[in-house]
Amino acid sequence: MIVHGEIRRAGRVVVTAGAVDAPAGAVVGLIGINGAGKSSLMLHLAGVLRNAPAPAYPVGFAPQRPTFPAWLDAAGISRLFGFEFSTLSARYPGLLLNEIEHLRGGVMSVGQTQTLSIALALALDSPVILLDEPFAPLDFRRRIGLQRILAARGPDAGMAIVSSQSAAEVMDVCSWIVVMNGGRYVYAGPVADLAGSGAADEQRQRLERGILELLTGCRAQPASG
Amino acid sequence: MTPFAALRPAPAYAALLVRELGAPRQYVGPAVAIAAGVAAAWLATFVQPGSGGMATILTRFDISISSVVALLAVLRTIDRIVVDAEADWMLQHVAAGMSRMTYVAALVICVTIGALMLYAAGALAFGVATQLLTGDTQPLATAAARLPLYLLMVLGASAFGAAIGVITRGRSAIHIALLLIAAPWIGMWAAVVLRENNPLGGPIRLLSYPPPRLFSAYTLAHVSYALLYAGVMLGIALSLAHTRIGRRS
Repeated sequence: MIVHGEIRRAGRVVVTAGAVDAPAGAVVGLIGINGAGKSSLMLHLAGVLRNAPAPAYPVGFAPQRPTFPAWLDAAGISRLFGFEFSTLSARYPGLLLNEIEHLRGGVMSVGQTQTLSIALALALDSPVILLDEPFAPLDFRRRIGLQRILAARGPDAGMAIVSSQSAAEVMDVCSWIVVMNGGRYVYAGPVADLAGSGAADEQRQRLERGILELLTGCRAQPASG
Repeated sequence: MTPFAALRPAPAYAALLVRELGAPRQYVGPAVAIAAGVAAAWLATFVQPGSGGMATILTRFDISISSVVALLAVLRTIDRIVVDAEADWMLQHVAAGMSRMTYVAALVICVTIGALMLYAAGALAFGVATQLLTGDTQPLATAAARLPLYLLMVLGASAFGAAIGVITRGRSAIHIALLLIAAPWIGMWAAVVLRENNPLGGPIRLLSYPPPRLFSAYTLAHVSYALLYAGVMLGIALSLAHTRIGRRS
């Protein structure tokens, strides 16, 4: 997760230079307050922000609030991305894609649209998967399904970066955490380093406290770069 | 990406064509064009009976009508690019390594076919109605013979729209396109005003279009010009597609 120089949007610096390293196959949780620069960083890493360098490989990217062409159904949208819908549906049964096969983009709910977007991003099998706040609009069935898919990723699966507003979500699915504040990386390390050990509730509370301390500047740990 | 990989989403791009032609509201345009063609043929029997009159009406008005259709093609292409260029699905599509150029080419082809169908519906309806009402076959033959010319005309218009759409940003693209289209006409009419006020006087000849004949030197010159123009505009649109399509500001 390297940013050279600054990322600017509408003339304003939204992310400053920095580099974070994470182990291969890690699911990295990107967390920060609203306006911290998470979505801008995602767009930059996907190579779709104006003036962003083009990535050397295809990137599986699911935007924060995806929309699809209103006139195409889910099967047509899958073909637009080069996938057969039946293959996609069989590969990710936990996302319950069969429920939306015949729905057009214009009538899908926010959660259904997000589900399809996530499936298309994952199916690319690219070295980097970027999921921008994927859990928020999903119903509990698909949320569990996505958690299982991310948990089942092996070390050969490349890096998955998942942005979130929730420490609990990060603790559930991520092995690594990056905290952003004011467009800067302020912490990067294993989730366990912040959450510690013990009961799940205790870990979550410690993680939330740790993130809060980092965001308020009480205990900033520098990331490399 | 291999050329074959770039063609993977081609079946879905065909849905763009469905969007242009197949959605229920898209039938309104051709339906109105057919109704207008039939009505024009019916009215013409009162205005100027006889086969020569029909042919004259068609010859005089089809260039103006096809120009309006071409203008609609320009606006339609720009409108689609404005809407699609920064759409989330396009960002995801481009990040996944799909081709921006395939999108632009598919859009131009689909808008061209859609606009040509609109024109053809009206012109052929006029021709068929004239033949049924008066037995005159010339309007239908003329409309059918000219369709290839209008195909090039609308293709050039769509390519122009695509080029303007990828060069400029947002809704200003439509204003710039209209200005570029209007500028030569404004210049021409300014020249006419100057000539009319010329104290030396003299005859004024405006748009003295000879009646076009297919395969005449006049027609071939226009075909060559239209092909060159469409090619250059499409080349500009395709080469600049990476600057606008699938980019968020």
